[in-house]
Amino acid sequence: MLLGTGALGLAWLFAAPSLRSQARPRDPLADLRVEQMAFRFSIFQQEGRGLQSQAEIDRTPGAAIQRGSEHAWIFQPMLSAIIRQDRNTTHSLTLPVDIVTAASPDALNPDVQTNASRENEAAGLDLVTTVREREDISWQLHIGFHFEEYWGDGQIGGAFIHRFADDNATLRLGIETIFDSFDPLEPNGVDPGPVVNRFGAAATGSISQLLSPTTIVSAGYTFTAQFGVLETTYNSVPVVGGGRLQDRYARTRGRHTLTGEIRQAIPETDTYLGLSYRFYADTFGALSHSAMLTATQYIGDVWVRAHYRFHHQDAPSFWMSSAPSVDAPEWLLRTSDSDLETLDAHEAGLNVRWFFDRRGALTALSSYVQLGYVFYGRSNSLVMHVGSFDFGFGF
Amino acid sequence: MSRPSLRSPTALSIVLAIVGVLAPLGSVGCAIVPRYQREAFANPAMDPQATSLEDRSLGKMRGAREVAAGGDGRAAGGGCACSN
Repeated sequence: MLLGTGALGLAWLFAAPSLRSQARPRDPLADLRVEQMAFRFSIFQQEGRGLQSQAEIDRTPGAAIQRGSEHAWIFQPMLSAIIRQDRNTTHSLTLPVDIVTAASPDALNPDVQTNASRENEAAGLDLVTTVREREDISWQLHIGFHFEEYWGDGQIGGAFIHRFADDNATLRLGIETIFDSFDPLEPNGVDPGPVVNRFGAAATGSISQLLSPTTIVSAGYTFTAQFGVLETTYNSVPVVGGGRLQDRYARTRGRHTLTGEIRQAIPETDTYLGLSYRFYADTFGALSHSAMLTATQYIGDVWVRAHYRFHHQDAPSFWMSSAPSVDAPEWLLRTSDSDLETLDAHEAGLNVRWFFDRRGALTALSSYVQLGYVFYGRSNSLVMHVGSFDFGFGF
Repeated sequence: MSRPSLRSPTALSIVLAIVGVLAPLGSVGCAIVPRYQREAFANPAMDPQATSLEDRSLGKMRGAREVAAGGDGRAAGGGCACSN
């Protein structure tokens, strides 16, 4: 699957311009160029306690149910490039890497677990090719894959983009599919093998509309269907009186997401505001509301950007803080994952971006350096600090 | 078993979400802004492409720690060992 995805990506890279060239003469090869390279390095430091974690808890028989440690460090370098192949074809390439050291998976029995849980390195590649077929119509193809030590996935998708009303409105219809394959590590650290699979497909429709020379609104809807082993197989529910039960989810899940956003420019003060809202509901019974406000203020060639996000979620119907017995039937759906618990989350961030080597008006392709910090805190004790450094160079 | 009612918090929140998101789009398809007045939309602060790596990084952080992954143009639930 993964090799097939990669082969398809390469095939598309070379086929895209020739497909379009049937309709119009091909631009000279000299148009091929890198438009922008961008790099981001983030450090995430996380503390918290969750029922699904077995780290740093009293394991003596009869001990009270406790929340285990969710301590984690994550180092995340990312690289992206925007490559223009010719006047109508661009490729956006992203290489994300994650290096995770987490207490929760480390607490699995070290004698039998795979090395995957101690320090987990993950890397991937995403390629999005956009071909402008006509002045008002574009096509996109997305190919991606991702590897961890005990996990791998391949992604493929596409989208149709139609601009109308003299480019005042843009309609985007897309489909994405993802195929995951992973080792089914159990809560005691044992890998019973063989690998298990998960498949997901998402259909998205979104539309944006200019409302004034300084205002744009957009809205979107996504339906995602998932099939297969959907739980984190080494997560478990504590049992009253001792012991743990492996998480168990239904084998299918339908997810609905509705988003809306408005962006407003205030040229008089060089200020830019954004307000977005996201509604989510799924067939597990989970539901959430998220709202985010972003404010950007320019001071010369520097922007200062602040954001605040509030998120509330209601847990899936089968979420439980403990199970009554270790003899629960196989079909009983259960989880005590703190990430799925009913909770509120607050997030606040601030970053400063300096646009150096400014040539003409600023655009998304202008060169910059940026420093940022984000605080993320949940009502069930998890706290995260994120520091980041960004660098982008426009050619 | 009780019948679903628009008075229930869940149904009401769904209706409000749909109305709230779709209401500003009543003018979709209207050519309101001529091309020569679109300078503001090219500014990085108005263009999502200018923060694509940051959005991806923070989106992954939220997706791994909240129940509500997906809806960002990608299929949910892949690319990490999280169950969200």
